[in-house]
Amino acid sequence: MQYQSLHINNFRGIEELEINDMRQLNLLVGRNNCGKSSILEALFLLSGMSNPQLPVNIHNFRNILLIKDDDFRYIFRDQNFSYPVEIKGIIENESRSLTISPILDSNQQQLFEDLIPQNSISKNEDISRSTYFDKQVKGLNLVFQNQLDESYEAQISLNEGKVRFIKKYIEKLKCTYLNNQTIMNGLDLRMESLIVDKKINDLITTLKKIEPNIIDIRMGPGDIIYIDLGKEKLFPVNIMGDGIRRIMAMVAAIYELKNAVLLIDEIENGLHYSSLMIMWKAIFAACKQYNVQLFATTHSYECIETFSKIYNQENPTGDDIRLYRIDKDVNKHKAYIYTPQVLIEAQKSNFEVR
Amino acid sequence: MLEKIEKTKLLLVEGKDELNFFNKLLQLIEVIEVQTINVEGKDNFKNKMHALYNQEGFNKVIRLGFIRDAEMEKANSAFDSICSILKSFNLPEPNQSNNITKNTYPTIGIYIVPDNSGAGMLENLCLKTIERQKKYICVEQFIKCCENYLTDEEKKIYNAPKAHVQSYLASCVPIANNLGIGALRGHWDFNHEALNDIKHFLQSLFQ
Repeated sequence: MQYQSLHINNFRGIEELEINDMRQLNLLVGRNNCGKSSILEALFLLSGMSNPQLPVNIHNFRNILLIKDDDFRYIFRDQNFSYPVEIKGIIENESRSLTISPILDSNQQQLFEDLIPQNSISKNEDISRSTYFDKQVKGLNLVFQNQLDESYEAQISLNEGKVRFIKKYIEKLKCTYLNNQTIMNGLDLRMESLIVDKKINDLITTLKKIEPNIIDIRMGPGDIIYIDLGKEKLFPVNIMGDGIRRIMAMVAAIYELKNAVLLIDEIENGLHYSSLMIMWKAIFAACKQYNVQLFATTHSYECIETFSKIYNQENPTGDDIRLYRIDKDVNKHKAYIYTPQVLIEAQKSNFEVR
Repeated sequence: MLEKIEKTKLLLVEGKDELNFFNKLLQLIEVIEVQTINVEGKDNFKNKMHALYNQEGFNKVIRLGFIRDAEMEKANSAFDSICSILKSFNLPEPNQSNNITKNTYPTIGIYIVPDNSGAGMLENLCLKTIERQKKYICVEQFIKCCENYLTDEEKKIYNAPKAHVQSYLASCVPIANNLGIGALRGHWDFNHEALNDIKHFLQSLFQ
């Protein structure tokens, strides 16, 4: 299950963006606030389009807790509920689409409402950022469709604390989002399944390249992951370096996913240059073996360099990677596509690609 | 230090020699604020152009020039090759070599060396600028003599214009070991009429 293209309208800071020619391994780069993380979130929402809880989850990833339905404005362009979010994609030649709109109070049609007191209008902090009055938004309505199938609907209301499914839809696509907030979440469960599925040795072989003394990985009491470094006692994984834990988490996520999509924000975080090479080797091998499509973001030149170097070393004639430089010029977003050859050329020419 | 698009006028040339030659020529004809980029080989125009197009700042480029050799074929073939690259990026194409697009963004011009018509390369153009020098008779005699000793295999890959350039530059003071350094040291006659067309092209495109 691989994305071939993505089209985003009115999502977060993105008015319109189209990304084509997606491959198995995709790296997104660009200046701060160009929309890289938003693209991962759009992929996450579209992959789980039938789950109305996901618009809340993507805020949790950013450490933002949504309390009331008006907080959903964060996903709309310019925080304005007037522009419905539209996300479309093509996966294995089948299109899927998701439209997110606010659910409005049934009284919205009335022509006159009680006037807001003047003193309230005069206070800047009370002026709504949206064209609708705050109280009118009662949740989100998600309309989604797969290929030429009929369209489905689901709703979420924070005020009511409910999700509603108009018709049952069975989602086949799996997708996981990892960032600094979420990367260690559920690692104990992932490690458990790796041990049960006898895949733990593959992970140990990879981690040995960073820490040669690793002999084994075991689960201990309280779901704590322990590393056997050949010493008298086992070491809890939490006291190991950040790099080893991050690679462990990423590779374990790929093993767990299988035929799915993995999204990793700021993939280079906490990793030394030498570990980046090991990380890419491990990720390339695991994604290939388990048929996982990767979308990752980075700001690091070394991360881009090693992405290209490791791939071309192992696949001199391969065409399974793409780098996208996301550019935002005034309000226009554009994805500039680098094939392996163009990426090599840019690096050879010492061009800035970030 | 990573290289960036620093100017709004770009000139893409085939190699290091061309880079030095055209930087010198642009300086002499007082065309300033042009960033000359070495594409590192005629077969690399496509990849280099793609890498440039993707770089931040390319959307601010207002003037874009391409200079490449005709090589063994007529100029049309090299011109078409550059046009197909422009087409793949939805960029405007001039209607023929030595012409510049009108009312387009960016303005684009293509010049095929030596003369926008026949086969040849920058070496032919440079040699034209010094062929009336008395010293050049000696160069021709020397090369002619040497050519008698080429084997059949060597003849297949022998490059006469490059041989003439090397021999001529070897006779110059200070010596220069390639066409580009020869340009920087003033060994080519930049006032020669053979360079009028290319000067006019650069002035029309960049001024």
